Amino acid sequence: MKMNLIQIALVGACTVLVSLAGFPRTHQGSLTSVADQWFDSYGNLSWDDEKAHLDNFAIALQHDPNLIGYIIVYAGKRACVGEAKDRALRAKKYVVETRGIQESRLKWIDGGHHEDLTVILQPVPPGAPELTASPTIKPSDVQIIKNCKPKTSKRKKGGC
Amino acid sequence: MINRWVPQNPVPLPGTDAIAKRLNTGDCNAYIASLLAKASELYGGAGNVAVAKDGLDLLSKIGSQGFVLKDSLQINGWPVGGTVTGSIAGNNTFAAGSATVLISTRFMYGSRAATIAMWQANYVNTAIHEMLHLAGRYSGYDDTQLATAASKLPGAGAGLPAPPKNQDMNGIFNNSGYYDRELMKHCGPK
Repeated sequence: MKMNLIQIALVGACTVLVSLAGFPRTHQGSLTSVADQWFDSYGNLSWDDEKAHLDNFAIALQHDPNLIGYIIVYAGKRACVGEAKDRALRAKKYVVETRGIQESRLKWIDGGHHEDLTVILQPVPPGAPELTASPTIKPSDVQIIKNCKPKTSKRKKGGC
Repeated sequence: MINRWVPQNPVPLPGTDAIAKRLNTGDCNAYIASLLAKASELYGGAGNVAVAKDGLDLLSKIGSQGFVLKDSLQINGWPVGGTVTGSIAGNNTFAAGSATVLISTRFMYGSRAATIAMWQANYVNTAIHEMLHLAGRYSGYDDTQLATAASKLPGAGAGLPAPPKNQDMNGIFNNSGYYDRELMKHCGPK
């Protein structure tokens, strides 16, 4: 019992010290962490609108030749087989063939599934760690849509 | 056909009335009120309470001069869609009234009206997302804090990412993405 009281007293003293030490930083400081967001992300857009996003992505890559462009695609909870891969490859093809970005500067990731289809475009500086996906839907919870047509850059509307 | 040398036109930022209009649409402003209250409850212990009660209140405190486009916006070499600087109420780094939302300028080929409208709606998404970072009295609320607060509200989606270790950008972006998806369920373009 005596030992417990000493331990409690020590914990209490440490808590006070940590609070006092941490207080000025938290109380007066600027943002505790970097606050920002992906360079660009979007959902199931028409191909014309998607091209506008890809154009902007390509412009960023043109402005800084050291950046590597990541295309991360999450298929939706209802999805076609291979939809994320098809979307990613279509985007990459457009950026390479229409906007002239070297293929070696682009990477794509099939991110798995989110509630809704999501495309993320992120230029990454040299030497930075590889980006990784963060799926939120288990494969077992995905509903596969049958009779999907493959995505090509000639299709005007989104969807399968 | 490679069009890379066609002039690239910057898309202008709409006025803050466009942000106010979005905040007034559906349950956006009410959702932000709930999110700020939750963030204040979770992270306001050292005085870092929310300085605004909802989105419209926050917008008025940042003011119309507090939204700025910036070309090639980067954080530690990473191009980003938006970020913040300054402080609404002042802290040991920034004066009161210096809160600013920085939004990455979007460029387009040509001048298609539908593309301009799409990017301007996108600017509003970014502005609303970033505004909430400025709501914490002293140190703001970061992406992980807002993602965590959003995950505790009714109807929140699964898949809250793990908190980032140190300044791991991948982890920060994934938390930012979760927070953004929850926010845009209520405040996205209708």
